[in-house]
Amino acid sequence: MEFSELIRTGRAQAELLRGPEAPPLRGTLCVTSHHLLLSPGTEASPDLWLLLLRSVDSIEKRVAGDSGTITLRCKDLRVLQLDIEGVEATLDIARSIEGLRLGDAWHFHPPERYYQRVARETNAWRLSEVNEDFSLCPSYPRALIVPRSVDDHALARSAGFRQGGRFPVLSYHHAPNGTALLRSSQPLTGPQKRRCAEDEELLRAVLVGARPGARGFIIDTRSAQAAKQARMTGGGTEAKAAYPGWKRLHRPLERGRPLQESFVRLVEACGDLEQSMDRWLSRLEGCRWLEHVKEALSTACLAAQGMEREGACILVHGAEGTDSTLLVTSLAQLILDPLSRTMDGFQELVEREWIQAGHPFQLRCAHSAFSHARPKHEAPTFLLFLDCVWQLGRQFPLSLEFGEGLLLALFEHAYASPFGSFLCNSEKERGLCEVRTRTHSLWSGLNQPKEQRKLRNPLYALNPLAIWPSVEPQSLRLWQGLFLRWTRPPEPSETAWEKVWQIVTDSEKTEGSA
Amino acid sequence: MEHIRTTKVEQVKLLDRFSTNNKSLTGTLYLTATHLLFIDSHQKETWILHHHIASVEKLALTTSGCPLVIQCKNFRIVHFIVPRERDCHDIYNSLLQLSKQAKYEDLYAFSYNPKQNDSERLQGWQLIDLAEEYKRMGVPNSNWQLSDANREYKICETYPRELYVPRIASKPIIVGSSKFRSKGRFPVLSYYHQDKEAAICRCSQPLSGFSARCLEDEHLLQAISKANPVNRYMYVMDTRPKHRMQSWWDTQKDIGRIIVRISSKIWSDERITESDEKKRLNAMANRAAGKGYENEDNYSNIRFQFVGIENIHVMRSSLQKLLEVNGTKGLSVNDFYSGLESSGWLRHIKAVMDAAIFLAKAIMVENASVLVHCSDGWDRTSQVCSLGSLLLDSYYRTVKGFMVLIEKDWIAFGHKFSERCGHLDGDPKEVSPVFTQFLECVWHLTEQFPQAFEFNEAFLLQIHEHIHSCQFGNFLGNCQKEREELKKLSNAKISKQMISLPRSYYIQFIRNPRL
Repeated sequence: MEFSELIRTGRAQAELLRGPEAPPLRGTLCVTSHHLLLSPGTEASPDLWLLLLRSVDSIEKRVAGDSGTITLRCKDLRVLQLDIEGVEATLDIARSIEGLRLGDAWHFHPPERYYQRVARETNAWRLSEVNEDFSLCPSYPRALIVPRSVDDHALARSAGFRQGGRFPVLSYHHAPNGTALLRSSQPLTGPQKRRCAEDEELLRAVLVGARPGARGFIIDTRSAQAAKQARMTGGGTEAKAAYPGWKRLHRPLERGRPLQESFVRLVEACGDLEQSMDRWLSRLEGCRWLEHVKEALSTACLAAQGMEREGACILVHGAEGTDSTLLVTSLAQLILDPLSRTMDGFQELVEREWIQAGHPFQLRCAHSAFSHARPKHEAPTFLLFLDCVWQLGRQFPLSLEFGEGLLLALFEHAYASPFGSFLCNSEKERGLCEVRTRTHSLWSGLNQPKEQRKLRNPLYALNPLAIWPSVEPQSLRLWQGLFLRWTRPPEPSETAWEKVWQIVTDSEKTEGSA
Repeated sequence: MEHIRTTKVEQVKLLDRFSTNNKSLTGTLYLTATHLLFIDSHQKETWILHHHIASVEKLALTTSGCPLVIQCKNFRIVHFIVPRERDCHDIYNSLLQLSKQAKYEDLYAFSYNPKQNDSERLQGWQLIDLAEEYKRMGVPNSNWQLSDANREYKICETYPRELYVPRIASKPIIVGSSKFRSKGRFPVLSYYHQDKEAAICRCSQPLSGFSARCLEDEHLLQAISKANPVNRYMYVMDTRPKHRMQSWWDTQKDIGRIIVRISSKIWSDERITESDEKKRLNAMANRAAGKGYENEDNYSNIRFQFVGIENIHVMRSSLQKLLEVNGTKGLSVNDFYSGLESSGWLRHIKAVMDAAIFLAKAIMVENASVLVHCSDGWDRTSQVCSLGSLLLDSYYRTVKGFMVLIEKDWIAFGHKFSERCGHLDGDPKEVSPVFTQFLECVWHLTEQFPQAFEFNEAFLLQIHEHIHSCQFGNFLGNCQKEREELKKLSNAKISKQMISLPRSYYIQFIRNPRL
């Protein structure tokens, strides 16, 4: 289908209101296949205003007299209002946007970094191409890192024992003490308490590979009761007797619809500018978002602590192993690994632990907080991850090489993007859609020199230690840069950021010349 | 020194407040005339000024010793374990005595010696010259003049000697008005906005129980209004919550009713009945809630605005609840936020900010002069006037300007620092974190406008330390008159110096001077 068929009206005269702080824009409104354009009249500034149609989360139209109003609520939480001359024009433009914002994706591109570094660090692990054709696990990438002593045949058996074929694979190798962080999905023990010798052997090999006599912890991101209940539907959790040396811990994390609802309620509360302090605080409490932040961070701390302080190996899984599991493994790496806190390392982490690891972005980020559609698979797990990273950055202002700008960019691109990186739900789907040959990678977009000042942290200094965040509620803060982004003027913080950059560059110059 | 029985205790443990599993440092505890000092085995020193101690508590004896918990006015909490109970008891008793002095002469400032000679010390006191500051604002001018009415503190003991009033207000009018206002605190100039020719004035509440009108007070208000050539009307901001107004009304001691009376009598000379008063009071309350008032034409010259800032007692208990919530370890997010909410602290902060914003807008947008008052005019009024000026004038956002602002609106106008901070052993009901709230409001502004301030958080913290430390003379006493007597009494030994830190420490390096 050609997108142009969906365009009903080419252009109309309109006024755009972008929030309480920004001045209104007047001009000619155009709808193209992918964008909404507003070109101001000759007297105003010549800048073109542009909106990606796919970033529209919900659309509302109203007509009165001979003009109409369209309210666009965007996935990046912006609320825009268009006052359009002419009833017909308003309805046509609304219909065009409605038709086009759901249109198929078009631009895509290949991810590139794989498991190079992990493979360089250790000999106990090998790169297996057992999933070459995605037959073992449709949501894993082609290549995976597994214990050297476990052959592909055993991997296949283990995959058969895990939901969706997600057998335990290496997520992070902690070089200082040789411990390993692994992730998988739940074992399919079922009501009969089935076992799988190869799966047990795989986990035993992990302990042996780390250090003789090493211990391990299995962090289950569900409550003990939920894990037990999962047996009725064929899932379950590792039996103690079957995995000697491994100890199971339950740390329930919220997922799915409750998490989405929490997000929706938070955004609602943030959008209400006329409320008393008490009402604001009770809404902030009632939406429970910061509680989820706290739980995610403390579970990640537990995993990191197990590795760094106890010298134990860690396996993380929930049910499917594509959401809260990734949240915990990726955060634990940020806490432990100084390399993952660099600009390149963090991008690699997102690519490896979220995109390649099969977080279903297409399903989870189909709608953001404003959509009226009934949520099906939507959940802001990735956003929760970004919020946790922001909290780390706030508590350790010098330890992350990237700034809030990168986190905001990742949030935006996860929900709507002209780049292909976050498209589809898994590597397999990305292969089928030819994402890599037909689109551009977000990383090459972000790493252009002109973007750097917005994304990088000017104060960064390499911190070789683990960063242990405080997870007390007193220490956690609302991420204002995201949730209040469109309701308060951005200039003060932007110019302050720019000024810090300037001071840092100037002082580097004088040091260089001295 | 007579309070000190034990000067040194060894093998004392200091619990690590960051650790979750009760780790501790072992070291030696020293008790000096001014400080409690702990030196741990790594030779790291922890100094606690006696004046900073808000409370000392001796807990039940444990196997490892006798726990001693010290809470400080700068919100620090230290937890010692003293091996022998007798030592602990001695220290406990000494600290109780030392932290609550009965006389000003025993405060640290009178013994503190920063190695300055007399001329340097005098220079310190002359660092900030309020006459200079009024000159900067552009007064005296054709509408405002310096009044010598209070030169000898005859009219108002808690005001400074130099006061600025409208040029057309004669001395009899000032004297008359001061008799009508609580503690004689009649309306005077706090800040003059040169571009808008509008003024911030401050006073205390009109005296209740007065049945007659006070012509002089009416004249003075009219004079303030007329001193603004641009705008015909002015605002009277009552910073107290209106539900309290209502309850005052009920007990017949209502000052609101007086306000209604004045307002109606100033601008129209009609007689009003009781029911009339009640109607207008309710109408005022309604208008404050944004419901409007149909008969506004009668009040075209004076507009009443209520902003609900609670009194010192509410603020004191709010802070207590806040500290309790903040100090609890292992809270869930829900418990923390409901605790934060029920403490009401942020609600009070917002009320102060809202009032200051209203004040600044009245001047910037409407060009109107504003008269601010609460009950006595030295707590809420100081908060609102100083914060409003800070919003309006970038000078107050510099290091020097901020000190000037504190000297003017807080120290000179008689905020009772010694009572509010509990410098001496006195009425605990007079202690209240009013100034702390002002500092927090400023901190919120620095967060929202990171480039608008010359100073940073460290500067605000340092000032907060020193309002309690009694190390310098600035914050001693409750008003200028008392402070002058203190200086005589102490043979002028107090030194004055607000900031003892190197400048680079408290300077906001990303400041944009144009903001």
